[in-house]
Amino acid sequence: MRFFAPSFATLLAFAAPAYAQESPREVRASAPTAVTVTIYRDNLALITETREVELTGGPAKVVFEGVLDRAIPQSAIIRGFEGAEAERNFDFDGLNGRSLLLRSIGDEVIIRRTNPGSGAVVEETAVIQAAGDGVALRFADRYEALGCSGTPEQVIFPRIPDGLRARPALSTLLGPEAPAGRQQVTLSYLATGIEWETDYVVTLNEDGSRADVTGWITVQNAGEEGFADATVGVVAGDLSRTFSDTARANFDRMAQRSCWSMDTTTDFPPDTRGLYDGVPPPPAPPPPPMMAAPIAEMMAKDERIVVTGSRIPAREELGDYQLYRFPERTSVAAQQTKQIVLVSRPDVAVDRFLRARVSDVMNTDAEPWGMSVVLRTKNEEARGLGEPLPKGHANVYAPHQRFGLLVAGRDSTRDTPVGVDWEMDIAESFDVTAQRTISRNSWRPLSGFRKHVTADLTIEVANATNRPQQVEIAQQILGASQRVTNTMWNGAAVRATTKDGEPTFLLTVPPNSRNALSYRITYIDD
Amino acid sequence: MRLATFAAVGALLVTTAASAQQAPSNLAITIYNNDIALVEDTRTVQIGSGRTRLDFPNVSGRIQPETAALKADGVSIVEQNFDFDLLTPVKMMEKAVGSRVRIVRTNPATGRETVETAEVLSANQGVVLKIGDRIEVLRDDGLPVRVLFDRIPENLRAKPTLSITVDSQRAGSRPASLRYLTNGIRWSADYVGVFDERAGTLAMQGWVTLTNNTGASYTNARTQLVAGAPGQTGRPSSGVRRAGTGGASSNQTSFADYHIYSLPEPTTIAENQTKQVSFLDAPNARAAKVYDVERNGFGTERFAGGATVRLNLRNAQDAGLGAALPQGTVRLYTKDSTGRVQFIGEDNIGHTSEGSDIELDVGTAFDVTSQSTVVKRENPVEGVTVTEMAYVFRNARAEAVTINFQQGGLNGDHDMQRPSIEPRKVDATTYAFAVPVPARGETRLTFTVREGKRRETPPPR
Repeated sequence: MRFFAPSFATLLAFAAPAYAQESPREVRASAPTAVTVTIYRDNLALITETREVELTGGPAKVVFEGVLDRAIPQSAIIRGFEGAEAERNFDFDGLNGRSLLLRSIGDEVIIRRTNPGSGAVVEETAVIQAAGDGVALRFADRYEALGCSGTPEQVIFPRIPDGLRARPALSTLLGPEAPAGRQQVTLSYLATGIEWETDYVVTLNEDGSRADVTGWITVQNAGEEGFADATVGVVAGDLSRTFSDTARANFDRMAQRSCWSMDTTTDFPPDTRGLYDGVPPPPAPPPPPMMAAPIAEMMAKDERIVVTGSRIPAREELGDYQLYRFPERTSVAAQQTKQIVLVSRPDVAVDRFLRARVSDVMNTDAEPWGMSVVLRTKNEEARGLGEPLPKGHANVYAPHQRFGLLVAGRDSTRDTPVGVDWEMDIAESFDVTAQRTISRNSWRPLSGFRKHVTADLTIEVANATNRPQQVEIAQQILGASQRVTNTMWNGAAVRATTKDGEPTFLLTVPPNSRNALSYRITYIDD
Repeated sequence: MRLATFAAVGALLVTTAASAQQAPSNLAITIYNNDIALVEDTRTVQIGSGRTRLDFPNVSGRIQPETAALKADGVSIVEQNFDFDLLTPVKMMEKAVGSRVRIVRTNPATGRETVETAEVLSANQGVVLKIGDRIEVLRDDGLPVRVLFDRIPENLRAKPTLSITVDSQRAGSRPASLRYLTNGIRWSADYVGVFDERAGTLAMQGWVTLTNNTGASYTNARTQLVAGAPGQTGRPSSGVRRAGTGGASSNQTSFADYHIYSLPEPTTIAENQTKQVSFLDAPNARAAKVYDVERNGFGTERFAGGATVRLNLRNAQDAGLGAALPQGTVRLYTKDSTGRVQFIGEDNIGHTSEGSDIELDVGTAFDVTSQSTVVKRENPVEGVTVTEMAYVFRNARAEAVTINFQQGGLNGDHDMQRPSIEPRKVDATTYAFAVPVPARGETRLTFTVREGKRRETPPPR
């Protein structure tokens, strides 16, 4: 445990007094010998690099070059220098034309001009007077602007300004206790621009009672940098985030060279009032990166893809999340989408049924409406599952007598641990419809502002398919002391069960039939 | 040390070659939480007698010029100007309107150069030149033409410059100190915590993070950090419950309602750089992981939702911590089965004095969930509601867990009836239940709450 006072002593030993500070010797860490990338769902990845450093002992500045420019430097952990670290710096400015110019303000450079007629080359020394918004040069006897004359001009820098590196670099200052010798260190840091999600392909069998379930990990790297030969893992879990930090890349400033007005007598800017429209429109933005859907389609038209166990990532618990480790090292290139199978379970027992929820008893429906097609199973071994199912997008396919496999619907799913229902509301049915008729809606006042409401309703359920359908109709809770009575199904008494606190009718609807469910509801509107 | 220098020059001369510039500077910066810093630059300068203009190039581009104050013996301020009229090619040409420039034309076939003198008539939508008695627009024919300026206006600067005209009673060198407030320098505290669940410890490292977007660099500056924002209410200190009073450590002093931290050594805060200085290393802070579920009022949840995972720490010496912790972000990591650290979540803490409890949100548990159902809601008489609740807590993990469940939002007049687990009353409207959930199992919690005033005689139905 140390807090300022001990670190004071630490620093004193190697940091020279204010007026004559010398920088400690700079030691470059090797390029990464191994890279591990752990990708999270929320535009975040943890990069862990193993590097080697040759230390001579005592104070040193260790530089890790080639850190991602989307790094969140505050998140860095360096293992291997325990206790010796005192200060860290993260330099965003990579070596480029603009940073060269900006860091050379006040310095002498050479301006080389090539005469376009004679080819004669003239070199002259100038001082960069300003480079903020266009470059002003001071020559011995005059001032000029750079790049405004139409003559070929070249700036020659005598050297790279101090502190400018080819790529963003993280450096750390080590105190006198730093050991000597060749040392392996690991640098871990968070970076944005990479994320993953889960895509499920659910292929139903003929009667909709069983399904093949394949879940894909889809990794998307929207960044400009990639990883080759990396150990890749993904974490399923909702992490607490603060977003108090911003990766640096968003602030990338574009190099600009501006000159004085270059308008001529004939070349005027387009009339902003629209009288002149000769300017071509700007080019269309590039298409968005390919998403998972085409792969799902490809999967569906294909016969079943068999995935052997060795190609499925190993899962382990990471705290209260799931960590999936890719079975072999892989690369994640810049601007790439990559997919790998997360889970593959054939022949999962599923319940396919149609659902309607009655949310009010005021209005008679003018038209019949399609009931929701729901697919539900329990995430357990007995049903053929029993694996954590991270939230994602599910595409459901079902066979059709004439057209083969068709998309039956899609839905997003939630994080589903073992033992919990896995449910998706995939479509609105075309052929199984419901229509509600309110034959009575009356109320009488109670004390206070309360009233006692009584309503009678009939729900007509029509099945236009030639097979029986399982239907679930739930009456939402509309008020206190709610009772549902006089429950009839096609003229015979029927019982409502309670599901999620709501009276729910579980019914089998015969093929090509029209049926009526009727009941009375009473409640207190309080 | 190229930046953050200042030069003293004669009133009419604008050069940077003043001997005073070589004098060592003594820079001090005090950085507040709300994007404000106080910069104090003291050095020995040569000041002539009478009226003299002192130029301070390379001050922060985000200076608040009205706050600038110069102090030197025997010197009174006449006026001060902050010039942010930056030198650009556009400005060079605009300022040349009405004056003469030289133009150099190059014959593209022969390469022969001809030099002419021209008067700039206009520099707006094309540069209009008067050459002899002819008028032309610069580079109308697209051929190369260079423009040579004999001088550029002296108030065009390469860098933002503060100039102060002073009246000096005597000539000679003396210490002068310039003080100003600027935006664009920030500090924050960033913590890295590696959680070891088995050992119940959090290895905490604290770093002060300095960022500088002022356009100037501050070299070897004595740096003080003020925790607390002047004239602003701070961020709500989420997750921190204050208990006891703050204890000051040796390098940290209380000033009014703020804490001031001094960095032990002068440091260089370079432009476009993030710098971190280590200030805390507590490798064995005790930390306990808890599962929290909090519900306000009664509702039915159709799907199970993950419990919130939190870490509880006590900021005390005997718990492996015990320091005034400035407001900042704590990033939490844990080791996976191969021993690599993996990120598990982050949370903010407010200014946390010693003796306080710290509560950090890690994230949402995948395998520990809760789901609520309103089993029954009755309204027997006006103003009275009886609600029967059932909560199902599920645990898919291989070990048993205990969930801290809080039911809040009850009416102040209520009866808690038949709870299946005995609760603890937290306050007038909140109950806490410790719900044990077996490994790969579930626990059902039920209770009934009667809310509302009892009446002498219930009104007729």
